[in-house]
Amino acid sequence: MSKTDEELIVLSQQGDETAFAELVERYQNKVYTLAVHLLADREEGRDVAQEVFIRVYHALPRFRTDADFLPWLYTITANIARDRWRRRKREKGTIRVSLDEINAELADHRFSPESVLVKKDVSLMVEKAIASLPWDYRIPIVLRHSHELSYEEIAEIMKIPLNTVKTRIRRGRLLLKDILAPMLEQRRDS
Amino acid sequence: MTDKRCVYQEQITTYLDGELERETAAQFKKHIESCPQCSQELKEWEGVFDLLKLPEEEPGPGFTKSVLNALHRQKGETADLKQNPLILHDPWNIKNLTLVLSAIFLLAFSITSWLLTGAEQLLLIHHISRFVGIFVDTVFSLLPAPLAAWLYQVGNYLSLFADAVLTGLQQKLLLLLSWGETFFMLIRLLPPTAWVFMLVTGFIACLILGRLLENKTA
Repeated sequence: MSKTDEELIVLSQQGDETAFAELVERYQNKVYTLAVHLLADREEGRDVAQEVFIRVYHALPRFRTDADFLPWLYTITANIARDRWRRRKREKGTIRVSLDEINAELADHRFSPESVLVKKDVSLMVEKAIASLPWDYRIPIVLRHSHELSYEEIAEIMKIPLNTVKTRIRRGRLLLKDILAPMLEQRRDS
Repeated sequence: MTDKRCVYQEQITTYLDGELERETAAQFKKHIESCPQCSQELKEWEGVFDLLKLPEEEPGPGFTKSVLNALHRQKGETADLKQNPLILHDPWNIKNLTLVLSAIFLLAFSITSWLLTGAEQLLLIHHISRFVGIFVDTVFSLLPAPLAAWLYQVGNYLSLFADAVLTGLQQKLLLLLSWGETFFMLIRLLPPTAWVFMLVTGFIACLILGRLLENKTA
């Protein structure tokens, strides 16, 4: 029988590496997925996920076992991803993916022999579209749509008021609707 | 045809989120059936929501192992730090080193100032200069006369130049010595126990500050 999160956390707090490895196995996909969707970069997402678990390992002794583990992981992931994003922005200048760039990619696909976007390409372009949003809109959008969290859970993870979460999600969605309009149109046509 | 935006349009995303209350949701559904504008808008938003449902990703094989390896590497580095306390990238050691260097500098400065203000040191300098003078005269007497004369000439020029430099320096030095004197007068005003007490409290305060800074950066 597999151990509960709480048991694994207690064992990890006592220095049991096997228990910690099991925790990593259990949550690596969620952490990695969030990092990739926030940064639209698989390599960097993997680095972020690794850093998250290292930080978790060091912070575990201070973690209260009665608290929820996953929201805590999401908070750490979002913080580390934000630091990475800022660093990348400092090093490479502004890296907002422009609407034109996404539309140009869509146009390329439109006239390709296959004519229909394959599912993987769609996901990559949606990731790019999300990465073009301002950072404050990106986290709630990803947590709401990819991770299916409630507004309350997002507010707790981001440590912001509920109404702010709602406003950011609404604005983010409106921006995304504009960005993704050509893609939606193409889907309708096909 | 009307340009007026339907009030129900505002509720479309809330409806898709499942956040509308049961009654409002029922009213919304009823309205959608009769309003082509809202129906079209709902379809568009459904498309957006569908696109935003991104699949879960996997970090690939060996991820857990890479995390554990990174942790082991970190532990190894921490052990190295404990074995070699003078490694400079540990902020705590940098603080200690700075403290020791400051103490050495202060001690050296105090002893030098103390000695320079004492008459015994001036006498010693006088004896040294006389000895050097006799030595130079003896060496010059052994040299050929034209070379010795030329060297005397050069020596004179050099001493004139040195005098000018030293006079300037002396004035600066006297200023520093007066500061030193004031400093030592202050030291002598307080009893040794007061100085010991101040040193100990200063050191403890430094330790506490160091610990606080360490916790903050951790």
